[in-house]
Amino acid sequence: MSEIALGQKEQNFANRTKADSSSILLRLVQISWRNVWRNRRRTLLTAGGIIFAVWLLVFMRSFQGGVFAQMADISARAMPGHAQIQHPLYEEEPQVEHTVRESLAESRLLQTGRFDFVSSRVQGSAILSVGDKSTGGFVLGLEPKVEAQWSGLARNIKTGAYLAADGEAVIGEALARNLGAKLGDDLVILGTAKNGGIAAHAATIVGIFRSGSTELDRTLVQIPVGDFREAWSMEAEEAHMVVGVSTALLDSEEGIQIARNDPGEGVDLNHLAWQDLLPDVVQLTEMKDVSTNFMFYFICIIVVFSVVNAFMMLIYERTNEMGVLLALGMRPHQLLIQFQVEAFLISSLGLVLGFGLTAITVWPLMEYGMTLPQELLESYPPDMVAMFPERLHPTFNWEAMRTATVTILLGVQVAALIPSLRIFGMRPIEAIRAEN
Amino acid sequence: MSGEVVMARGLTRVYQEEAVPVHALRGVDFSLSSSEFVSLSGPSGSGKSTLLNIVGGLDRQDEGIIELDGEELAPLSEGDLAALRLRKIGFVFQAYNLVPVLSALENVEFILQLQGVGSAERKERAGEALKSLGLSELQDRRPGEMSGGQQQRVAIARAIVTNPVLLLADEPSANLDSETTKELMELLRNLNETQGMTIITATHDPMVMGYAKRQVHLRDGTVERDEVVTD
Ligand SMILES: Nc1ncnc2c1ncn2[C@@H]1O[C@H](COP(=O)(O)OP(=O)(O)OP(=O)(O)O)[C@@H](O)[C@H]1O
Ligand SMILES: [Mg+2]
Repeated sequence: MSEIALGQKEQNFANRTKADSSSILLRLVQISWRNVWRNRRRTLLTAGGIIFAVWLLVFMRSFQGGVFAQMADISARAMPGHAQIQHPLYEEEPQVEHTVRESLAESRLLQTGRFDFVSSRVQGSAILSVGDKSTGGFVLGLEPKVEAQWSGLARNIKTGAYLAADGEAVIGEALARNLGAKLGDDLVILGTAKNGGIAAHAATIVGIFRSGSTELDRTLVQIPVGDFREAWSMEAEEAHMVVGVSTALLDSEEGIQIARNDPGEGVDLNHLAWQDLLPDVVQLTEMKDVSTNFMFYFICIIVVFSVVNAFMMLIYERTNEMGVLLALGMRPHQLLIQFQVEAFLISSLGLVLGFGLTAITVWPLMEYGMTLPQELLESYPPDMVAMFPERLHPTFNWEAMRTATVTILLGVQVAALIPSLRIFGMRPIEAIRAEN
Repeated sequence: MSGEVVMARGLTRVYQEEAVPVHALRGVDFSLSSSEFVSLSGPSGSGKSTLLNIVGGLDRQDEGIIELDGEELAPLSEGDLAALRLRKIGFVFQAYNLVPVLSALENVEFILQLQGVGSAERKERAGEALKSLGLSELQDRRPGEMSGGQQQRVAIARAIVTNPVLLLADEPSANLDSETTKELMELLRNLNETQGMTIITATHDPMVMGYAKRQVHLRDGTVERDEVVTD
């Protein structure tokens, strides 16, 4: 009997403590909240570090993300497009016979629903002559009407106009200089045709471009794809690559997936996303990200040390108060909760203000764009800088925000925990008596 | 019949922290019945605080037996001791008593909250405790907005709100002027007389001693005199 009664009593007690552990938690949160405001200066100092760390990471990554995306887009539009489909061997062995069937490759790209412009290209090296001057060069046969809509090169015609009809050619500025060519001159192209014979073609120079890339300006000739096929003895459907371009850059993982997606059907095709086509841009992006991350984590370490220091001070200052509470019967873990909540409130404050500041600084720039300061421009390769538009637009980097949130939240809790562990070794009478 | 609240036999306490061990208590016998009002006196270093701390479960003896409310304290874990202090003892310290960011009412409520008392009951009991000490007007003030004497009264309210079996006050008047000390001691005497609260104070202050019904005088860690005051 008495055992049952006791069991019941203990049960009641257990229920009671369970119900009230939430109310004590609320009280601890309240005490923490008030302490955070009581130590306003210290709170703001710590939060300030957090604000700066968050701003640095998110702003820099958003800014760089925007620059990179634009850089990638400009680079992609300069030549390779956002995605290509090639013969599986063409990348390794760019021989004239390694072709894909135009209609099949184009439908593959169109199936993804992500490309606004799709067209074929054929290409090969050739000897180029104007009058009695000759030089080696590279001939690209393309669909002028389609490429004129997206090609950066088409927009960089310095004299004359872009390709419009068969029998025309546009050439690079340096190439024109080397050949002593001017608008209206006849350009003679001699290459090796698919059948092993001579590919010969004569075209009228209608435009001279300055692309920003010295390599292209020195070697490239563009002619309509039909002219190329005819000269090189290729069939109507044969293409070395089919190029896809979208209005919005496929810069996410999803973009890579889509561009590389192979729907099967047993036809072996090589799918390339712009990340494959522009390894330099990707490498530069990664390098810049590494240096931003390095700065962010460096500031995080400073934040962590300042939090450790703040909590050492705080625990030192409140030794008497804690001694009294421990003497009254409060448990060390309850004090620990109070300090951890305090740390959480401080980091939340820093994070919220940090995101506010970041939003305020990033949004207008996303809207209106910004010109890059000279020092920053100098940290990019001159070839790319030449292609930059006047105003660059950041893209808000949510991933950086998530990284900042998780890192700061964890870092601050741990930083606050370290000095707080002293509570467990604290003896109330000594704490009450401590001088400070 | 009032039972034994404190029973101490042959208590010793030696502080080993210094190069030379300090014998703070050298065999103290002391017992206390319910509703007594005792003052521990004696010169500085005689062991008053040490005895009070051991009685209150804040410190442990090296030898001897200490029982509180019939329960031996030596076998209890730190956690059990904390729970025992929370349930059975009211403490008033000489200073730094209250949580600075909580109002008077919240400070008193907080201890009930630690005990797991529900919200409505808590508010009512805390309010009553403050009222009984004439502090109703001040219940929303924080410690920083109250005088030292007012803070000590809130500390007493907090100490009694749990209906402890024993109220311990170590130098409660150390930071108070004599007028305030008098008010405070009258409150304690009143608690002792009307509610039968069992109280031990440790003090140098003759005025504080004067309010107690029994004087225990310590010297060099032993009880030199233990006498009931007759007026
Ligand atoms: N934590 C400690 N470490 C070392 N010695 C201690 C400690 N606490 C107390 N003592 C010593 O034990 C002896 C008794 O100290 P206690 O605090 O009990 O005296 P007290 O009577 O309360 O003195 P006071 O009137 O000054 O408060 C003293 O000699 C003191 O120095
Ligand atoms: Mg003392």
